[in-house]
Amino acid sequence: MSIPALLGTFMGLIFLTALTVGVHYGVDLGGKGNLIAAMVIATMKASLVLAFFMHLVFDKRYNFMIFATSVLGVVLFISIAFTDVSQYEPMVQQRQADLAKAAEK
Amino acid sequence: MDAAAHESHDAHGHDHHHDPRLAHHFEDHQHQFDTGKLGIWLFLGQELLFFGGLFCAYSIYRGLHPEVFEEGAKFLNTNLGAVNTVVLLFSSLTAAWSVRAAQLNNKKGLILAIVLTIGCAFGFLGIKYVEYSHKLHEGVFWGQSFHPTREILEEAHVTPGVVPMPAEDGSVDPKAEKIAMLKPNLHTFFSIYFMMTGLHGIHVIAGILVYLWILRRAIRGDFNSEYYGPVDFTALYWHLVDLVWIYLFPLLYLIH
Repeated sequence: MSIPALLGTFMGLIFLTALTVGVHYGVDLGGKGNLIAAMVIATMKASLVLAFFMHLVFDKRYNFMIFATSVLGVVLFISIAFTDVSQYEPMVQQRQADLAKAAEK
Repeated sequence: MDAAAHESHDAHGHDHHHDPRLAHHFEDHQHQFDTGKLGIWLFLGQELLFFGGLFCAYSIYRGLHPEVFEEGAKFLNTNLGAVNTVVLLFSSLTAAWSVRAAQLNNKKGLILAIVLTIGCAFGFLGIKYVEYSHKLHEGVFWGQSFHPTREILEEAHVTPGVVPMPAEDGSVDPKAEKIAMLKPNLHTFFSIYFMMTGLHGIHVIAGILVYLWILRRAIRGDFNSEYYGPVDFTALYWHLVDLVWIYLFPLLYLIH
């Protein structure tokens, strides 16, 4: 990789780090809004690292596909776990409420 | 090479005019390099799934109890986290630079880039040590061992409230001054924090060990523009460690 490309990637990463810290201290987008902003910036940083430092843009497509498959695996893993949690959480809440009521009596 | 090279093997399967760095089962350096690269990408994919388990635990706990994470993050030093992010990003730059130097047959540049990468890795661990030792010294442990001291509660500015503060000697008098209320299960945040940053730290240590080996080989003059796979693959691993930290930093330190 050429020196300007290396330094440009690095400067981009530093800029995005400063941006995410700045947003954290300076901008209130609500709890969810700030989380989404932080994750969008982190994903931009991750893409810079993957594309240039890890040469995925110049590389064989196959290596990218391996990594993309892994990312998909993690996304599926977390979303399926979340479906499970959201399915059972109301039952847990109900049970806790019942127990609290029983304790009062 | 190819067919001609194969025919020149003797009865023992050895080719005496053969580059010793090219394993016999590869046709040429490009073949060897591509195979190694496929291997390291498979390993990195596996690493991602491996960390994915922890990210899953994090997401579920945070989804159910966001208040625990908001309060827990107050105990972390955002400045140290940000400095460590920059240190790790710089080490990724030098790691990428080491690959460039190897490709250009620049032995001095290669050695310098590797030494800088190792230096940054030690810097990262040093800052992490400062953070860890401060927390452990102030009773901020994981799980049931979580007994934060008065100093760190004041330092973290946790919500003023209802629960009596522990005295200097750690004992709790119910009539004591009530200045801090800790969220129930706050220790869960620190279980997750120590587990995730600890596992990441172990990866940094592993990276240092591999880079020391690469440094030894670089000084010996093993690498050139034709053979630099190990430099490239180690850098790829190092970038993945950086990648994990890119997500850990906002998820742990930058909670609103």
